[in-house]
Amino acid sequence: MRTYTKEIQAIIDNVEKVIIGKENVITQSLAALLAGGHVLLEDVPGVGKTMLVRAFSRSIGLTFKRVQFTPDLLPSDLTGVSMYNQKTSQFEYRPGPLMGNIVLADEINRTSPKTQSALLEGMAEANVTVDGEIHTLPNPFFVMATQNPIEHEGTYPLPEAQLDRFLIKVKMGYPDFQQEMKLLTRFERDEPIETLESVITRDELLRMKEDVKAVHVSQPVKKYIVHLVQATRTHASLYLGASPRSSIALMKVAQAWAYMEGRSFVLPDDVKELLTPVLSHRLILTADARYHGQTAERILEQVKKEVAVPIQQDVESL
Amino acid sequence: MMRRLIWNLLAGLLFASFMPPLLELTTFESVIPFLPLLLTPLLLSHVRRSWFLLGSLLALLVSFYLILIPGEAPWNLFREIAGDINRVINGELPGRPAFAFSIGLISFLIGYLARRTFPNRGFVFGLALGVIGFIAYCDTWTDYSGEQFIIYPIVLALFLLYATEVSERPMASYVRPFSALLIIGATVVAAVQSPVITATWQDSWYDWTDGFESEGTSSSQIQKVGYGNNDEQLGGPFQMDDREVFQVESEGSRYWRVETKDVYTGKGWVLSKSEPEIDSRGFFSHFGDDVKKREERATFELSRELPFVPYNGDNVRLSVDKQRQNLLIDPENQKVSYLDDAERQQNYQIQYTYPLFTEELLQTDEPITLSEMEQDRYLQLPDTLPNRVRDLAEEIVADEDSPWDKAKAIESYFEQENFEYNTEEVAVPEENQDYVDQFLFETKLGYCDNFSTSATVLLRAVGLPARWVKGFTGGESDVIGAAVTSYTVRNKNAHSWVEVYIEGPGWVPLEPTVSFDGAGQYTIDQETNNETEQANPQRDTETDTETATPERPQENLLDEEQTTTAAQTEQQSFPIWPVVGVIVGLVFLYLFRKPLTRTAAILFFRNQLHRPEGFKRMYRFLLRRLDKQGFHYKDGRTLTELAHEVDGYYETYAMRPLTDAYERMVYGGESLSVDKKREYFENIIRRIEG
Repeated sequence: MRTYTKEIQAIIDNVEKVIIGKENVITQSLAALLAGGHVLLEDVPGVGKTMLVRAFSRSIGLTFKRVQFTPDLLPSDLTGVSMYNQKTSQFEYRPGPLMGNIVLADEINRTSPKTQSALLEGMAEANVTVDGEIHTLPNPFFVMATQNPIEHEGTYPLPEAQLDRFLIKVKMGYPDFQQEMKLLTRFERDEPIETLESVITRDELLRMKEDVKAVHVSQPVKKYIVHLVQATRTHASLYLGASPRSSIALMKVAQAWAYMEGRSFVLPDDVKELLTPVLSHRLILTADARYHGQTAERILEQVKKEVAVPIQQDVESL
Repeated sequence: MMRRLIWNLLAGLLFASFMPPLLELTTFESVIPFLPLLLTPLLLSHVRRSWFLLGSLLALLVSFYLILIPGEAPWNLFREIAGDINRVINGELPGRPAFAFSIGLISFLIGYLARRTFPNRGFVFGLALGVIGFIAYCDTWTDYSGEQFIIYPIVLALFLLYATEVSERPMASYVRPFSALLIIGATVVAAVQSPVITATWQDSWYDWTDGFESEGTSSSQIQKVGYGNNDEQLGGPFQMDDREVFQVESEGSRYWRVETKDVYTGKGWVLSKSEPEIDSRGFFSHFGDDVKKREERATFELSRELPFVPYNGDNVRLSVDKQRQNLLIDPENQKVSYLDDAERQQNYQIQYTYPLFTEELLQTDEPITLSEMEQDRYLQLPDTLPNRVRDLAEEIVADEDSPWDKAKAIESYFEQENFEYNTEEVAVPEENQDYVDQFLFETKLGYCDNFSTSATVLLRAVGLPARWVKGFTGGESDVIGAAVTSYTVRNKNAHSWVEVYIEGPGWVPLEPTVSFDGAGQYTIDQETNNETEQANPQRDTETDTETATPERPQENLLDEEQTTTAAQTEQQSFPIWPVVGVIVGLVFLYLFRKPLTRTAAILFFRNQLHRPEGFKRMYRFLLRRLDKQGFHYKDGRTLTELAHEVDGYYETYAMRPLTDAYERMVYGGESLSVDKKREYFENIIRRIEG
């Protein structure tokens, strides 16, 4: 059982009022939010992806926007358009759904690459360009994109370069029997999401994001991260290993993770715990490994066992 | 619990099976004093360590007491051990305590191994292999015969394996008793039904034990033919042994005499005590002054060292490279040996006088002029000798007048009565049965010992002084020249015969054993007595009519003074005691490595823990110790995971706070001090090295 700081625990408790038995998903998403990244939720419909995002936004008191990605969705449908105001004879910017604190991009692989890249640009740059004008996205800006791994017909799978922009990938998974029973009871009379109240303010969140940056990452932990990432690059079953961007991502999420637990420094445990959600969507398996039923998750488990945790300060590097 | 006890007992008995052959080779008489020593460590192999150590030590003391000084006060044991240590320090060979101690040490180590590995097939296999291998080794290379005994360790090993393996597994209820029965059945059937194949390898005992000297006690049923010192217990079958003893070039096939024995006990022969004397002339008188003698020479080439000089006739002189050597001659048994053992040579020449008796001289009726003492010696018969033997003797000589005719009558009695020469079905006399009586009246079959002993007893019974002679027959010939012939004498040529005292000629050899013609014992002089030559054909026929049958069984018994254990014999060439000391030291260190490490670690880190560097060093030391215990931090475990595992395993709360502090220092760059860190450290190290 992990222990969290009071604020974090409050958020988790609040979200758990509607999302039952998915502490891992909640904490990992929260870590991504605190680290300033975005989350890719990969799962089948109906497991509570939208509910999770809504609960988040309500708990933190942030605005929530949802975009259902369809094949005919245009970039401007996301970013917003400039409309001519006849009264003022001016073009006025009408913000699109991207202009929210927390954006749920549902079934991101259903839309055309053009629209996908508009979203990804926004995620990367924290601003959008409409008619040559740059519009800054609100702070914090947090995208949770979902992807249905089952259907392939008429989808545009995200290229690896794009996937790399998501800080972590989490899987919701089905609740177990007890959890599902509990779920039914809770939703028997009313919608608990409607009564959810915010537990922290936007300003508090921004302060927390600043605090996360101050979490100490020691030399041995950095070494551990690099060892892990490099191990994926030399792994026989991997066609493409993790990028340096993923090293940074791993470190950032680990910082957030340590912060959530109230530590001022990152432990190898944090890194180890987050390795799979941070790296699994960034790896490409060889055809042979895929043929033999290997998965990125399994390979990462293997890497964790192979790479020794540095247990002392390296005198030379200090 | 019960199963473990049975297992322990089986393992103990299996281990103890190596003792019987060892006892055969040493002067220890019984396995019983050794039993506590052999069984206790294995029996206690499952109890708490302190009990195990204490029990083993106690067993060692009890066994020492039983083995070494039965009937003496216990404190003498320490004197004995002290004496032994003293002997070792003075560079001498240790005595029986050291031997017993070695066995105790091995036993303890086996018990310790069983304790650590139980239940383990490998252990059972190794133990069985060792014990059975040892018995097989003793059977092959020593006088010990394990044919009957070896079945026990094999059966024990099977049962032990059964107790280790089969009873461990879940299975249907009938399988266990069934497989137990199967083990017994298969063993018995295999033992009874297997075709017995003659051994491909000859047991080669002599080649490896120094000639005739390193002998062990032997109560084995099957003897090997050869020349031995001990004749106290005659009888029993024996095996052929074709190994060469010596080659000799002589002027004809000659009986080679070694020694005589004078006291018949009813079971065998012993020698009345005497002191050997130095006789540089090599002269002693077997034969009367009137006997015509011929100087003969024989050149010996020994195949192995002999502690005596075989000879024929009288007046023996020995030279090596034409250099006369001083000889030691025992007047009592006429045994000739070197004055100085160091001068023993493999190749030498002897000169002796060979008797040429005449019939006239032999047919004397002179009264015996031997001294009273000598008459007592050579007419000695045990009180237990049954009267029917004396009656038979009288009966045989009833029609004869002269002593010589009487002697000849007894010599030829066996031939006439169709006694059978046999080496395999020869009986051993019962507890209260006379050896001669059994042969003469019951079995009527045997080999030279039966014939010669019986003839000696019969001769004595009719008042003729007689003695029992041991030596070798002429062997196989192999002509090299007209006058000189080379003979090969093998172990199977070991023989025994009789000498009877006739006033005038002196001690005349007789050959009572059927199928032996006595050629080479002496010669009836042809020149002076042509007439009697026909009646008594020349014994020295110059031809080898030896049968290929072996002639005398080898028996071995240590002379009390020369007693050395097999173990000690080996130690002579190799300074084993320092090595044993080092091994004991290492064993001690190994056994107590945990408390030693623990104490050393606590002492070492005691004053370091308050400094960050000292604390880190301590923590890494803990990690290394834990790694040895199977908690590997190197295979991707984080310290926190490791700490949880460790605390979970040892049921402590010590590794977690220590790890937390360490992580703060290493990953957090903090240098926080932990409360009670010494307590935590001592707590966890006690568990790790507990």
